[in-house]
Amino acid sequence: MNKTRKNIGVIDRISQFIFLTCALVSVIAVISITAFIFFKGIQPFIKGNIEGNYSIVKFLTGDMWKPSQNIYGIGYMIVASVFATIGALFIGVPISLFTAVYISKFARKKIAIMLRTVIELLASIPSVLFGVFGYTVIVSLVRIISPFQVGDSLLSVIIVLSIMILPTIVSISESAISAVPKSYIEASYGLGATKTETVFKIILPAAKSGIFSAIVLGIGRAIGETMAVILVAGNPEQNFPTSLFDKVRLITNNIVLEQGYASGLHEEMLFATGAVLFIFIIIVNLILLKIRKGSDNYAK
Amino acid sequence: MQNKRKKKEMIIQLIIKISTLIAVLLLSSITIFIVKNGYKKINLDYFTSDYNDKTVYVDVENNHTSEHYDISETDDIFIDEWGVGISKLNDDSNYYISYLAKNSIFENGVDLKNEPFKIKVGDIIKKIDKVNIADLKNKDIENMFRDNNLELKITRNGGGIYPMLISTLMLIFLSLIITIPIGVGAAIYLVEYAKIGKLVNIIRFATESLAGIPSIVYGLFGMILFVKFLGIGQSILSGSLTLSIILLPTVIRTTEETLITVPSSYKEASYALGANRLQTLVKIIIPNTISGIIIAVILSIGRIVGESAALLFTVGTFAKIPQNIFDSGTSLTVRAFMEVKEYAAVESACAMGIVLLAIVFILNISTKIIVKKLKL
Amino acid sequence: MRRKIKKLLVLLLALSMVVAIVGCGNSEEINTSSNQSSEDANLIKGFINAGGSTSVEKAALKLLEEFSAMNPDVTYAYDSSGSSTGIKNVHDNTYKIGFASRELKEAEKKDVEYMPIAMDGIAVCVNPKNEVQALTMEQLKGIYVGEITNWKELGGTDAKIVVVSRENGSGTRSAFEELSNVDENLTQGATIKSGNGEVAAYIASEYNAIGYISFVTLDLNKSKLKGMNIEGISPNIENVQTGEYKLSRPFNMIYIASKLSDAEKKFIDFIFTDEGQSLIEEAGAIRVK
Repeated sequence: MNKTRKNIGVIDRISQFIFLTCALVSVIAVISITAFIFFKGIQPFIKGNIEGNYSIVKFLTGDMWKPSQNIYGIGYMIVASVFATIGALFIGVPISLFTAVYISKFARKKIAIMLRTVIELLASIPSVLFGVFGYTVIVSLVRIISPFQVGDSLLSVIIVLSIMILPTIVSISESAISAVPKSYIEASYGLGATKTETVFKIILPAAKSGIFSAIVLGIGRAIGETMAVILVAGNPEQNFPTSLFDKVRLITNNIVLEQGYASGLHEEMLFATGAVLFIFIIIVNLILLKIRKGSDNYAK
Repeated sequence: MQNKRKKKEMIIQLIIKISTLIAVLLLSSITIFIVKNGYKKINLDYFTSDYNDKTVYVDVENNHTSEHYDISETDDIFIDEWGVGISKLNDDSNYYISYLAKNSIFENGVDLKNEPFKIKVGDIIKKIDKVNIADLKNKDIENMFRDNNLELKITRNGGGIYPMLISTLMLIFLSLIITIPIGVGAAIYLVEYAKIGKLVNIIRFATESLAGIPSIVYGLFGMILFVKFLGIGQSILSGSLTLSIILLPTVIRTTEETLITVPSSYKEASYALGANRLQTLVKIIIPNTISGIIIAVILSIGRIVGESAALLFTVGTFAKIPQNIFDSGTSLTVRAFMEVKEYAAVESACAMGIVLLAIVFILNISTKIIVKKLKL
Repeated sequence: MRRKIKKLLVLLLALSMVVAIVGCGNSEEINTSSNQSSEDANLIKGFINAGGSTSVEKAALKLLEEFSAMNPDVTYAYDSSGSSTGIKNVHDNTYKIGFASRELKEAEKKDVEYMPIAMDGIAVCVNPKNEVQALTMEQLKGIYVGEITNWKELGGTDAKIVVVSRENGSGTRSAFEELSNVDENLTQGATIKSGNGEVAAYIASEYNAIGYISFVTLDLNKSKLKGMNIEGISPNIENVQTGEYKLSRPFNMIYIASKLSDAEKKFIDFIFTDEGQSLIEEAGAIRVK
């Protein structure tokens, strides 16, 4: 009797240990990936690095990427990624929110269910297929209106990214909007507001936090996208983009284009590029966290 | 005043409806584009054939066991004694098998390993007895068939996605074997064992961060660590290891969500009956979260099928069937990408796209059905 | 029950890994034993792990396909990743045989063996609708460094020249920039495409584009592109062989001899046989033996 109790205790502790180990695996994975990328990424900027040395300011603000001449500037890529994301949000967020509002508040039940299903399905389309579509259709269309008569451009990237983030933002916003308590809505009508006034003045603000989450996810997808945009961006080796029709090289694409053969300082620079991407995403998450906290405080 | 408000109301409602229309149109146009450009290539052979052309040396022997073969009249060359019809597509192309009678001798070919090789309609004949026949006249080719023993050089056209399907299945199998146990174990720890505090917060933060890392970073990491540093090379294993890290957050999150929904009354009843934590876990809690684990599996499969940046340098780009998990291969997404990038073969890429869409749509619908059935 | 299933899964994983490793080992054993039997003396087993230049791809695939037709137990892969990646991956053992469409740099020659398997020309191409048919080397350089920006300066229509170049790791690009004296001064506005195929597809659809591709690729896309005469010499194999057409470079093969499998060694031998070199010609390149 005592033996079994003891055994069970031991087994319990062992199994707890196994489960803890499993949980720690994700911690170890994150730590090792982050550590690896930052460790390798910081090398080029440390004096006395065997492979060579580079100024971090030149790296972050440079407008030229020519490894064979030892020039590594990703400034123009950072700008390109930022513009692309902002552009995608500019087009994608309004359309998504209006669509979410329509599905939640305006559409008849059957149509709403159908739309919801269709959009959720379309959220799972692999990014490569957006790339094929962009390469064939969007580039040809942009070429027609481009003053340079070239389809590869910031605009093409923005269009592709907007389409990609639509399903994400629509589904999550729509859940948030539908979750707004009926009492709010009824109160608003009771006070004489029209439907759209209710939507914009009561419902959307009430669904704010869900909508923010949706936008954050959308931003994450836009910044991190590679395959969908690499065929439509142009990937030039220099120059800050100054117009929608300029060719751009995104931070993500820079890694894919060179990772096959980079070695030495060049390879470390790719890790540095990855580190910048990392920091970007952290910054975006922090900013949005702050905005959310700030508006929560305001609501209080 | 009322009219102004009414007008504003109508305009805004119109904008809302138009936005929805735009959204739906944009998203469906991609699907329509893929289907329209790719459907011609889809047939049964597409799923079962090799992707690359395959050339084989085949010996065929005519024993003159005097079978009378059905005659065909539509070929450029018809060889009665062999039951074979040969034609050219157009003047510039190769000769190919346009007709094979039932039990034709060509169906009993033997390859260099002395194993049977069945020649099929559509196969291209490059050489007969070491002679290139593409530039020969029909009559000369007919004469060659007077011999009883011929060595043919046959090329079978590829264009099928069978190798990619096998690679994807292997990736799914191996990634799930690695991720599901670890992810479920982690979720169990977080929900059942962990005391609220620093450790749990660290683990949660780590899991959320993993989810935010872009695939290309995983691709770079996976290439440097698994392919090069650990020396595994481009392989299913390298790809699966990279994928498992990507999938971890989803598995943990989904399993956690269902673990939490197990009513505490179940657990309390179990403890009241004298069971300890582990027994409760195994016999009560986990059986109630099977649905969550199944959803995690389906979500993971969906992610694996759609992933490309992480696989490009870890698994390979060449369309062959991996012999084992240390062998290289390629996935549908990677191959579709290469098709467009290297050859601008939009039709080929879209055909693969149709298969991809079908797979992810079916997975998606399955998830919905399971969620509904178990009323989560 | 759950724990048993978990155990089973772990066992399965371990088992599949064991099978995989044993599987690998087995094929090598069979390889040596089959080489001893006289019947199968000519049949080789194994996997040829190759990759690199997109220019060499077609020729390499022809060679690999024929070699595996002659030796049905040989499997192969050609990872189309670019010349520089081809060279680097031999150094760190990701490929066993790498292919590059340029000369190796000094640093790349360390610890590996390399030799040309073929010669190839680089064709400068434009869209068939472009009226400009020929360039001098000066004009070619002028376009690529950005001094000449409009087709009308060359007798064509009034349209901006869309300059297309290759990615950084491209062997064709290195060779081209050296031969045309563009060197490191590629014009700012150049569009970067990865792979010969991408360049060809782009020029075929873009009326004002100019780009450079391997002869092999031009051969595949004859109807969609126009190869320009450089200094009055047209881009064909004969002119490369006589040396009149100046834009040519070797297809180099790189490997580390000690790491090659039996199949890979025999494949390398095959490349330099008459049949192998004929296949290279069939692909559109120029034989070296």
